Amino acid sequence: MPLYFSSEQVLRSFERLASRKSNGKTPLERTSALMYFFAFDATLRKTGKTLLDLNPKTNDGKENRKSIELEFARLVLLEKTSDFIMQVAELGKATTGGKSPEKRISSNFLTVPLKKASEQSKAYTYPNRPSAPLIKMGLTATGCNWGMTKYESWSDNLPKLLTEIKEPTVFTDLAIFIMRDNVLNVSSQDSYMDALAPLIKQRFTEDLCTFWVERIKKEHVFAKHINAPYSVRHEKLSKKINTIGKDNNSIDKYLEHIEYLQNLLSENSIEYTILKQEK
Amino acid sequence: MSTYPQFISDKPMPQIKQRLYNGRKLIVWEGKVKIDSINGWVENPRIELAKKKLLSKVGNRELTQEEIFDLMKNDPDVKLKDLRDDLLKNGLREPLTLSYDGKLLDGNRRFFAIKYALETMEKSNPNRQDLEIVDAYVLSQDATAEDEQNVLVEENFSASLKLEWPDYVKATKIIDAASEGLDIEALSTKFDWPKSKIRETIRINEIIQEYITYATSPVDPEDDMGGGFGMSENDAETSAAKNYQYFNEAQKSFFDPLKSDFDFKIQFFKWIHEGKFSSFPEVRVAYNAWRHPEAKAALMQPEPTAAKAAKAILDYNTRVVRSGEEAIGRIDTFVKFLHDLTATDLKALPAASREKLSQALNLVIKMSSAASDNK
Repeated sequence: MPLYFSSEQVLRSFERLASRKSNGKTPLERTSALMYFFAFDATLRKTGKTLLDLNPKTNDGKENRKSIELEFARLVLLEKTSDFIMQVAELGKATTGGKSPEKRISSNFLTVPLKKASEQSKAYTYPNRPSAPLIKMGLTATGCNWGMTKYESWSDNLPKLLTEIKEPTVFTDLAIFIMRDNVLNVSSQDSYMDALAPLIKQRFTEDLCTFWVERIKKEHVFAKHINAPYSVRHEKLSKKINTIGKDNNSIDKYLEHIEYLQNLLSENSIEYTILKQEK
Repeated sequence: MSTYPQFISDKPMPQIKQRLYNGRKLIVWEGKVKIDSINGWVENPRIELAKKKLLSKVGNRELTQEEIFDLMKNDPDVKLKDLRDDLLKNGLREPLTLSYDGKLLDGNRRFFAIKYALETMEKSNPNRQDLEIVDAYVLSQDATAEDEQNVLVEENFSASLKLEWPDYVKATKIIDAASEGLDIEALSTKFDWPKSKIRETIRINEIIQEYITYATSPVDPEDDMGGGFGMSENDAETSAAKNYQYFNEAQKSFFDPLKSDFDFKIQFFKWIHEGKFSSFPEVRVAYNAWRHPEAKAALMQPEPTAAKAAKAILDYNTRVVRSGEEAIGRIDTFVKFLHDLTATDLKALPAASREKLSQALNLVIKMSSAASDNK
């Protein structure tokens, strides 16, 4: 019978990834940078390349962009129906509504820094806050105008992006969260490390996999929260998770959701009327 | 039986008691006294310097209660404002002690802090009454001058035996309250600590919790890192408490590296466990030593002076890098020392020292030659 990480375990690991800071945009920025990097790496793994051309006007570039968008969605999307979306904007917390993950990455990462990098003569690296680049892009850095490749010392910098996370098992919890919907090729007696290693190898590049699996092994001594991690039943994390109230209640979120619903109605040629409140 | 003095309130009725002052049993009245009826201690040595300064301005005369009050308020060493704020929050924790004729023997700062508090409180404030009439011990009519002196000695000269809670215990209280859901702001108000200190305490606790988790993990020779220390929960916590200030220093100096450099974190925990550090500066440079091959090699040695040696290496390198002039000065001094050295002096040195000197000179010749070629 196939095994999965139990939804309790996935939730526990996910919540342990919450930032020490309960507000501010640092956790959001860092989560985005991390997930962009993973999405990019997964695309490298799929294409077997070390450099991707992301020119929006060439077929190759469009394909690569699409692939990164899909990988990003796979990483952060928790639930999506025709009128509902739950995703991760900040590790440890889930939000509802807002732009779809594909739109989030295409209107942000694949637009602002990439365009900037394609236009400037200096080598462009990302992210810059904290100063711990994972990716380099642009002509000077990659030899290709819309090129993107991994920064040389990405493995030194990746943990620096995660220093705001309180718990010491960051890479283990990240892996469990990311592999939340995967079937595990292990028996119930096997260690979670045996379950994670092949999945990481399957989805990410060899160098990221080597680094990640080694970190998981090192973190083992701190992983007291992983006891019976498997389940024969696959249950979506979205069924277990509490979405963050603050963001959902903010006016901006509501406005964004209203805009999304309006677009949805328009796209499906459904007529609607905006009722204005009388004063 | 003696009667209580007029200035003690008869409601509630004063009680006669026996108290011990500096090894001497004295009879005192325990009751309530109006602050208005007490005079502060004008001869208080605590404000001697400030008094002298004032007397030089106003002329040599007896200072009034109001003048003394002003001195106490304005002398930062007296910390009257802090005590006033504490009184406003917690009331009078320790009764005043007076002689039978109303002279204040103990509690001069408390007395003036109460006056200060009353001065800042609205007349309509219902809490005023708690400070207008306060608890006091009054020596009985039979007390001698020597008895009064004993009170002074006990209350003003003996070192306080009250010990503050250790930092680790205080931190535990903060963390317990934080885990109940109090945010930084609320914790700061509750414990009267600045928000920055609360944040630091939470970060220290984060490191300590990881240390305890690691220390209580079993020793595992098959693990690349060797597993944990196999300590009991109690022993690990005791070790953490003992090293609390070293963890604080780590939090201040290399919190982020502890979070991102896993191997360093484990090594730092091992160093703490081994008792590697004997001072804060040694802890402070631990991460720099970790990244400096020579200093790291020194720090990894089992000798008790390993951390000191690593720090010396880093200090020396910093100085040489910072100041070329200092290096030139040191070379000049050493060269002068060599020039002054006679053949007899040299012969008197141990063979090992002569060999070291010879090796060093050869190294300098090679390095200097290489540096010249690179120009």
